[in-house]
Amino acid sequence: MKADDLERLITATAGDVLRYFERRVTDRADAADCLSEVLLILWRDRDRVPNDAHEARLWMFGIARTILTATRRLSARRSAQVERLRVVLEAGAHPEAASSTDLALDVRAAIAELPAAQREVVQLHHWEGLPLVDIATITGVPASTVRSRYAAARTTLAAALSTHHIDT
Amino acid sequence: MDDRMLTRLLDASAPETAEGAERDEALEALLAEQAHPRGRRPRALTVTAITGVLVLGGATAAAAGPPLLTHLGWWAEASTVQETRDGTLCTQGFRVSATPERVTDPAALEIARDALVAIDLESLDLTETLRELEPELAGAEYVEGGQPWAPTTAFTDHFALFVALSSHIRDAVAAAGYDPDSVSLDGAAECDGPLTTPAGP
Repeated sequence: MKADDLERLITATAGDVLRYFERRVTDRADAADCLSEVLLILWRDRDRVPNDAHEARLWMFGIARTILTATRRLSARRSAQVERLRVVLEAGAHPEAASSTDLALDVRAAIAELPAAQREVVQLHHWEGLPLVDIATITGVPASTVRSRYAAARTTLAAALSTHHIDT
Repeated sequence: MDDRMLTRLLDASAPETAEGAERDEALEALLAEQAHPRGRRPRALTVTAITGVLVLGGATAAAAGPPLLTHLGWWAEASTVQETRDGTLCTQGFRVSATPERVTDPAALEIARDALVAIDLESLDLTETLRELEPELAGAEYVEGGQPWAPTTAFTDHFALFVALSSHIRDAVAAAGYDPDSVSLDGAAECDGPLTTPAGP
């Protein structure tokens, strides 16, 4: 991918990828390091980034997913801007109980009980707003499998949350 | 519970993220910092572009691993500021990563990173490396964009540090029983003087 196109991709997608990390890392500030890792991989491997903007966006999420599951240690040495973003993210972090409703916490707990593969589909779909077909691309799983995982997850969640309701 | 209600519950369950102008500014600054340099560092060493014609002995090339990389898309895990033998001041950075197209055991990467971070870059003895490297560099042919060039002393010194460091890390990985080729070292240098000079007829 050309440098200009890659810059546009990063500008359009980096915020969403940062949120993806924020919702999944234990220490929210680490999301800054994770995003930085994504950026360096994008620039290093930019010849491998798909030219199609949508496919490139999914590719970027795929990289993010890999980084999240990798066991590598985050670098203790950070650039000034990574450190700055870490501070901002840390300052914006709220204790779960203070920032979320009891209902949201219950739903999150129910999602956490799902098998990992189902949980990932639910989170990507409802938290990141990704269509199931795109989740199939990101996770490298057939779309039919993603759909069946999602259906199974919904069945489980509906049963687990049957006593809850939303005020309308 | 009906489907619509379940969907709404799931949509509303996303953990909150930090939002606001301060976050946006910090994110923009990070993107700008890590953006492709494209001429912002005219004196930076960018050997990536010349690897195709950088002719080195097989053993040294293997020890050096992948080409030196200078781009702002990564931050160094170990760095040093040193004056080279010709008085050029160079900031040099290094990091280890998994070798593309190879299976890298995370433990091997950890060992490599630990070896990189632990070594004292300022006191690394480059005498032997320079003794082997200088004749190879002197006998090599370099052409980029049709223009022949020659490495300066600053280039040679940086390259020597890279080769010595690479060798040190490879030894550490191999000693632990892992494939040293599965781990790569990236290096970059930014100097206050030229790293190459025009050469040839």
